[in-house]
Amino acid sequence: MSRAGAAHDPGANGAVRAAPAANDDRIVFADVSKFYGEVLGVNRIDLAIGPGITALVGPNGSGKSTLMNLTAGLLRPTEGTVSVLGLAPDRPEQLFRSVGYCTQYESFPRGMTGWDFVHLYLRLHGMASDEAQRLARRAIERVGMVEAAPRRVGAYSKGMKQRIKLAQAIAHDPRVLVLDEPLNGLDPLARAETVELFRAFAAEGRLLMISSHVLHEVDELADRVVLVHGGYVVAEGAVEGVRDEIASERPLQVFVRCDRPSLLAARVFAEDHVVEARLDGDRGGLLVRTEDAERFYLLLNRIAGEGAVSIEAVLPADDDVQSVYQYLIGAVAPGSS
Amino acid sequence: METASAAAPVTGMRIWRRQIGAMLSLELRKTFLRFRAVPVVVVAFLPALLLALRLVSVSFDEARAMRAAEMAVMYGAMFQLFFVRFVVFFVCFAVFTYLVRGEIAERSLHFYLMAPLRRDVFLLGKYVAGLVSAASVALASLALQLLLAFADGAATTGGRTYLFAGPGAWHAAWYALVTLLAVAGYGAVFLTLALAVRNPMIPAAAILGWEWLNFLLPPVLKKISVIHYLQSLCPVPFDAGPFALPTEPTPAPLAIGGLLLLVAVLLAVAVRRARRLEVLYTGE
Repeated sequence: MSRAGAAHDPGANGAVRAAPAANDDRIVFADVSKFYGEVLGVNRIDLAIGPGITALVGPNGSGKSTLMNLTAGLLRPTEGTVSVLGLAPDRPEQLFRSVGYCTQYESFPRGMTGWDFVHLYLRLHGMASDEAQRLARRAIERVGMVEAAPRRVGAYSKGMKQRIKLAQAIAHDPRVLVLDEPLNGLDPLARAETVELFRAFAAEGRLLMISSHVLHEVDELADRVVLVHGGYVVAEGAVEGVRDEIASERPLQVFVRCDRPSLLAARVFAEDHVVEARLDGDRGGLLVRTEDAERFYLLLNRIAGEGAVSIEAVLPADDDVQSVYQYLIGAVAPGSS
Repeated sequence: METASAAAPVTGMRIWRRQIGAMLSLELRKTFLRFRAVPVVVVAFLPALLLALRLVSVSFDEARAMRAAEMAVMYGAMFQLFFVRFVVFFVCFAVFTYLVRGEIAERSLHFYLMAPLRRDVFLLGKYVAGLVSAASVALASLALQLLLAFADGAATTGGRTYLFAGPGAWHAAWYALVTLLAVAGYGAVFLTLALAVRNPMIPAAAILGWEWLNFLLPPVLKKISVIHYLQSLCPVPFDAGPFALPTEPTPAPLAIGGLLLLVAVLLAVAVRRARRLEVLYTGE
C-alpha cells in the first residue's frame, strides 16, 4: 500500500514528520513498529502530532488503539521510540502527570462507584484527599455525571461508562488527552457537549489525540486526521491537505450546480484532465472528476465568463474524511451507512 | 495553561506513601468485600474449625481432654504441618497471585498503569496490600486457634495458665512472627510467579510439594525453601517421623535474615517483570 503522507508546516498543521526532541510539544513516533508475536500491530510509523485535535481514523484492527497504547506506555514498541512532550512513555510517573487516557476498555476495577473510579485514580497520583476530592468533583461535573457518580460503575450504561472514563482522563488537568473512541455510546446531547469540551481543551492549546469511527464527527471536530490501515499510516494532515496530497494520484470530485448541466458536461468533457462528468438531476448539477483541479477551476471561470452556463455553486464533493478514506483504502469507511 | 498536575511534585517519599496508601485502600476493599474472599477466609479458619470441633467432642467425652503440655506439642505439629504448609500457603496463593493476574483476568490492570506510579511503587503497593490482607486473615485465624486450643480449662488442663501466664504467650508471639514471615515469604513467591507465568497453578502445586516434602530432602536442598527457615523459628518442634533427614535448625537471626533476603530478591525479580509489563488483555 502506498503511503500518501502529507508533510506540513507544524504552525499551520500540527501533523508533521520529525525526529523526537527533548521538551517537545508534540507526540512523536520515530520509526515505531509493534508486533504481537508474529502479528503486526503497527509498522514503521513516523509521525508527530502537535497541539489541537488530531483524529486517528481506520477500521477495527487497523492499529489505532495500538498507537494510543504505545503513546500511553501500556505497550512498548518492538522497534523505534515514542515520546510525549519529550517524555518517554516507559516513565509513567512523569508521563501521566501530563497525559490523560480514556481507553477503549470497558472494564473497571470491580465494585467501584463512578466517584471511586475518579477519586481513587487521583489518589494514585499521590494527591491529598481533599485535593483529589475537589478535582474529582470538578471532572465529574464537567462530564455531567454528578447524579450517577455514587452508583456502581457496573450498573452504568455504555454512555455513562464512557463519560466516567472521560472524567478520569481529564481529572488531573492533563496537557495531552489520548481518547480512544470517546464518543462511542453517547447520546446526541452528551455527544455535542463532549465535542464542545474537546474544542475548549484544544482552544487552550492542549493536545488531543482522538480515535473515532464516526467520520462526519471527525470532519467537524478534528484539525487534522491520521488515516491508519493495516498497521500503516496511509495519510496524515488536514483533511483538505490530505486530499490535495493525493489529488495528483487520484481524481478530485467537484459538484457544480448550474442551470444547464448537459451543456457544461459537453464543455468540460472535452478537456483531457476531466475523467468523468456525471449529471445529477436530483441536485440540479454536474459531478465532475478531474485530475487537475487548478485547470478545472480556470475552465469553469472561462465558461462562466462566456455566459453560456449560469453557475450557482461549486462544491468540493470529496473533501471529507469519508471520501479520502475511500480513495486511499478503497473501501467504505467505518461508521458510514 | 495552568494545570493542577504541574504543581504536584513528581517523586518523593511523601508521594509514594500516599500512592501506596491509595493502593492499600483499594486492594483491601477488593480483597474482603467480594464473594471471592469467602473461600480464602474459610480455608484460613479451617484449623480453628478443627479445634472448635475438638472442644465439642471433649464436651461429650471428657476423657479426650489434654494437658497443656500435650496440647502444646499437638498444636505445634498442627501449626507446622497444616497451618503454615497448607493454610497460609493457600491464602497467600489466592491473595498474591490475584494481585496482578486477577487485574489482567478482569481487564482492569490499565487502571493502575495509567496512573503516574513508578512500576516499582506499583508492585510494592500491591505487595504491601497483599501482605496486609493475607496477614490479617492468617493472624486472626491464629489468635482464634490459640484461644480454642488453650483457653478452655476443661478441654485443655492448665491451658489458660500456659497461654496467659506460662510459656504459651511467648510461643504465641513466635507463632505470630512465623505466620507473618510465612505470608511475606510465600507472598513474594506467588507475586513473582504470577508475573512470570500466565497460569501459576502448576508451579504453585510443585512448590507445595517441595515445601511438604521438605523433611525428606537432604540438608542442602532443605535450605532452598521457605518452610525450612520457618520451622527453625517454631517454638515447639515436631517429630517428622523415621524417614525424615535431620538437619540442624538455622539460628533465628539467620532464619529471619535469610527469609527477608529471599523476599527482597524475589521482589527485585518481580519489579523487573513489572517494568516490562504491557496491557495485552487479548493475548492473555
